[in-house]
Amino acid sequence: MNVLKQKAAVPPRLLLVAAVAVGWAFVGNNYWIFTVTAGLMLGIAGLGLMTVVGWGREISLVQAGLTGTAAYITGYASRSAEGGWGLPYLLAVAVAVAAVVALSLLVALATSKLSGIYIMVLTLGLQFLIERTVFTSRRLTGGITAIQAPRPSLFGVELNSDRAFYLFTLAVVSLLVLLLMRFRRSRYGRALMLVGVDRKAAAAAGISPRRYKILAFALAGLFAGLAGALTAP
Amino acid sequence: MTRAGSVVAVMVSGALILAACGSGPKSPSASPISGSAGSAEAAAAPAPEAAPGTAPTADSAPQSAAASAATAPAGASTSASGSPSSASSPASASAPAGFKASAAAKGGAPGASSAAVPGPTPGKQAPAPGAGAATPAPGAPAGGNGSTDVGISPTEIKTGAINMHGMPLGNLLVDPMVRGMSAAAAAINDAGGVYGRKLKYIDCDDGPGETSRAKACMKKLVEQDKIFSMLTTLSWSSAAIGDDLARYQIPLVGAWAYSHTEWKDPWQFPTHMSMLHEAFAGAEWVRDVIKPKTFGLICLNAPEMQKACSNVNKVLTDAGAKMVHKVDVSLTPGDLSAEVVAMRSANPDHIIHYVINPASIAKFVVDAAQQQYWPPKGMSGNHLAAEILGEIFGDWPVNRYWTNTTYKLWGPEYMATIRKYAPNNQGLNHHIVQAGYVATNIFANAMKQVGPEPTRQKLLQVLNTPGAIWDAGPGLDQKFMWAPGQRDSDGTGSRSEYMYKYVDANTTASKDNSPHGFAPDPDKFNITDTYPDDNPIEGTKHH
Amino acid sequence: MTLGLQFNGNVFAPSVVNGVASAGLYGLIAVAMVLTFRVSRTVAFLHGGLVLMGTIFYWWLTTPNRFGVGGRPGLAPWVGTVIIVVLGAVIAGVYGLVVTGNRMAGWPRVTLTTFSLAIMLLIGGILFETIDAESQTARTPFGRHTVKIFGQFVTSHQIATLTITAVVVVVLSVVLKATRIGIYIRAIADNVAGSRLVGVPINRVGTGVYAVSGALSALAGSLLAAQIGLDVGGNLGVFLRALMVCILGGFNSLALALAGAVLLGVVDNMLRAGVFGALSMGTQELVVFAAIFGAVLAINRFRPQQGSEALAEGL
Repeated sequence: MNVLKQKAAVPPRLLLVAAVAVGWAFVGNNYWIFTVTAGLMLGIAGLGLMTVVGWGREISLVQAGLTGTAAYITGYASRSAEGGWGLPYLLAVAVAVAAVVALSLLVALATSKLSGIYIMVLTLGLQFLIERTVFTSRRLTGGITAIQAPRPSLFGVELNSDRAFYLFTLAVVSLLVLLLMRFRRSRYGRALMLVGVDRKAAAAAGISPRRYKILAFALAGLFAGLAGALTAP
Repeated sequence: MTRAGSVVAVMVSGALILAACGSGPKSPSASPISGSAGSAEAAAAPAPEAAPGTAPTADSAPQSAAASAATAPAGASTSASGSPSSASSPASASAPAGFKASAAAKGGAPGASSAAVPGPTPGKQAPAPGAGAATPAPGAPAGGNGSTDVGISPTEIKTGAINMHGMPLGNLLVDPMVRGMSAAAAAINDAGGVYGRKLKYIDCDDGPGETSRAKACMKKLVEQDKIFSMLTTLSWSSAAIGDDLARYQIPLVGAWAYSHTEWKDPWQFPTHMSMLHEAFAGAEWVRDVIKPKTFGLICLNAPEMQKACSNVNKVLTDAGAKMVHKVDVSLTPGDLSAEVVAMRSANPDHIIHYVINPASIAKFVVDAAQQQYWPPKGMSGNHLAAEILGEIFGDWPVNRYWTNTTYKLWGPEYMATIRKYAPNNQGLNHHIVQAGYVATNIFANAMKQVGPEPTRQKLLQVLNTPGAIWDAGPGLDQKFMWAPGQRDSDGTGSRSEYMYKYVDANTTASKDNSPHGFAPDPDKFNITDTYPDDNPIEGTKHH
Repeated sequence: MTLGLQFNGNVFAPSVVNGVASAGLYGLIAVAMVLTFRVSRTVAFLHGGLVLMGTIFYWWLTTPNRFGVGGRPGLAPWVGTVIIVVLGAVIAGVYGLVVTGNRMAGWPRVTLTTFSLAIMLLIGGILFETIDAESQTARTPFGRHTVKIFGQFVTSHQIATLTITAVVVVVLSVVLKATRIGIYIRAIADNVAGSRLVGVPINRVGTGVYAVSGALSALAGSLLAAQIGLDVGGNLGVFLRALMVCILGGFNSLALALAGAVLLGVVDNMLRAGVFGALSMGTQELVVFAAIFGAVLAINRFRPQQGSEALAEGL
């Protein structure tokens, strides 16, 4: 009984952190709220990098390019002006995430038989390529002058204000962290980490290193996509 | 979580709360002169009644309406209190004389209650500047102590700007501009300020011109520093903050008009020709003076510059010339020797560049010099009227390079003010420094016309006065009109510029402040863009 | 994006000459990285930091002040070069002492690689914030005389850079093959545990190798400052291109690294000069990427054994 109670209770320290993370936005000024929100978005991209670099032990240098690509695609798909598609925000996010995950999977498949520094260098090459193609496309990006993407309204809740958008981003980050924690403890997560630590041992245990490396890249793409999608508005 | 971890978590949380309560750092690049240009101790302005109002947007254009007015932090605002060195300046400090604004048109008296509402630009519904908004009515100051609006106190007027100190050659291009504006403010303050109020200039650095940092700077300047107005903002994000200006209902005097949208934005009052118009004006000069049969283009790989290059291409091909090669360069090019090889092989009569960033074109020039290549009829382009140019260009392009610029070089009062109040600008003046200087003076003059109880609404009404001509000052020979429907007037800075020839590698101004190394082009000095403003030439296709 | 289908022969020779001439910089940095990889089985991004340090500090040491303002010593280029090389050796030597020492040598390779990446960003960030010199070019110790080769003017600075790189490759190859220290380095590269068992002084050898390669990276930085100029993004771009070049030699062969540098320089120059028609920047990047990727796959196919275990394990 006591064990069950302990497992069900939320640690008070975590509650305190949550309260502060939410509460400060009601007393803070927009400059800091905006800045912290930007930091949270980078954090999401960082979480994705963690799965491939920290858990999968492969260095990917294309995470920034993927995040930027997702940002531009989301902006383009969600805006009505300047040739955009005018899709609802969530649909635009889905399109952007799908595109970026597909790109990430392409990298993973292309390098599945290679490892180590080959992946690092090839993802680096891809980063250069994205910078010179996607990031310079006027249609997609609006160029140096940038095109404003509208802040979304989700389920009747307007996210126009910096505070509202911060709280939304915080909720997304919290959810993603929880999901990652669950994933890490699951057999897939443990398998991924074993592949990262000792590929041969994983293979001996019947775990396919190739499959889990692809999974790691897909997760990295997913997080980069979400980070980019939040950055756009 | 361990005990130590808990302590760390609590400390971090506490730090966040403290920061959120407005005791954050000053602008990272606050010019030290900004403190001296303003008063040493600014009286804390009372919390304004006029919170950023809701923009009356009729459509769902991609412009976020400020739905909520942020609660003003309770703490005192962070004022950059520098040493009031201006107090010790000689009594004979000269005010920037010879500067006038004339409301020549009928019914153009400043403070008129009905200012024309500008027509909406496609996709945008801007709130009408000058129309009634949530600001105190004229003649009714908010407080009883001279604080008639946000950023106005009995002793000071706060202005701000966003500048990309992190751009290539930032220390040689952006820092001098900030010093130049601070110098203009210092001169005005020494002459008594504006109805006794000193101008204070707060600079916010958005790095290499990054949009997210620029937007963060906007929030900081408006909500934290509580400025009254923006001044010249030298950043690639100058168009991207247009929505923020509308949301906060804050004017920007002295936009550098990198994007042509800044000339169309009713909240921006540019003191520089837009890149697109410069492209037209320059191309028309090449067509009429150089008359090349073939030409080459060097273009920045940014969409705005690609558009400018497309327009140049159209003007010259319409005149029967042929484009034989186009080079795209980035903001930070490495080695351009291969591009020189390609251009030499194509052998154009004349090369035109729209690159904006001097570092990029300087690289081409240096590599061309190394390859002993230069087009037979020379090279021209915009935005390089700078005292530093000779140092980075060298001798190779002498007498075979031209650059168009908004102001005449350099202006006696301008140089006198800069020499006195910004001595570190020696050898670093350029056309954007001039634009910022002019903006500061025009701002002060407009505020004088507004009267001793200024508000943003009144300022906007003055700036939008139909027929009002805003003169840049003696020797600069430029003027601007911003009233709705008049922004595109012939003979003003939105259409008219000057073409200078690069005649000597020593481009530092002479001791008598006259330009050295730059000479007015003998064939056609005053150049104009005769294309209609909403011209049909788009040319947005990539090459 | 369009792919040109033409061939412009008149720019072929000049672009090849230009490409070879610019290969020296890539090659020097690549050699430094191959050396350190062999001894530590990690990619030392530190070299990127040393390249940045070399560019900006060399500029600061050797550029005269404007109108007496700046506080710079205005040293002769040769003196500046020597100082930079020594500084690079010292910084890298200390780093090598730490990462090849008992404490960090056993850390996961990815951790060490990320650590060196952080050091690189720290060095670059601190230096470029403190010293305002973006987009300026430094003086060269080799002068700017030019020689015309197949229609292309090549400067004495470029020739000197290429010569230095070639000499370094030859000397180091001899050292690796014919000296005791070279044998130690090769032993460490093949089997660290075994080397330790037979008494190879890993820490001392590692520190020495890092010091030498650090000197080379810093030297590359100073040469870069005079040839291309100062710019964080651009200079790092050269370093990252050199990193791509190393992969062609499997991070094992110095000669292949140099060959890769030449290949990259030539392909890059040919594309930019328009040998295959006017290509957009995006298309150029795609072709370079495809060329390197293709070369990597080909080399991996035909030389799968050499160092593959080290590559698979190491980063």
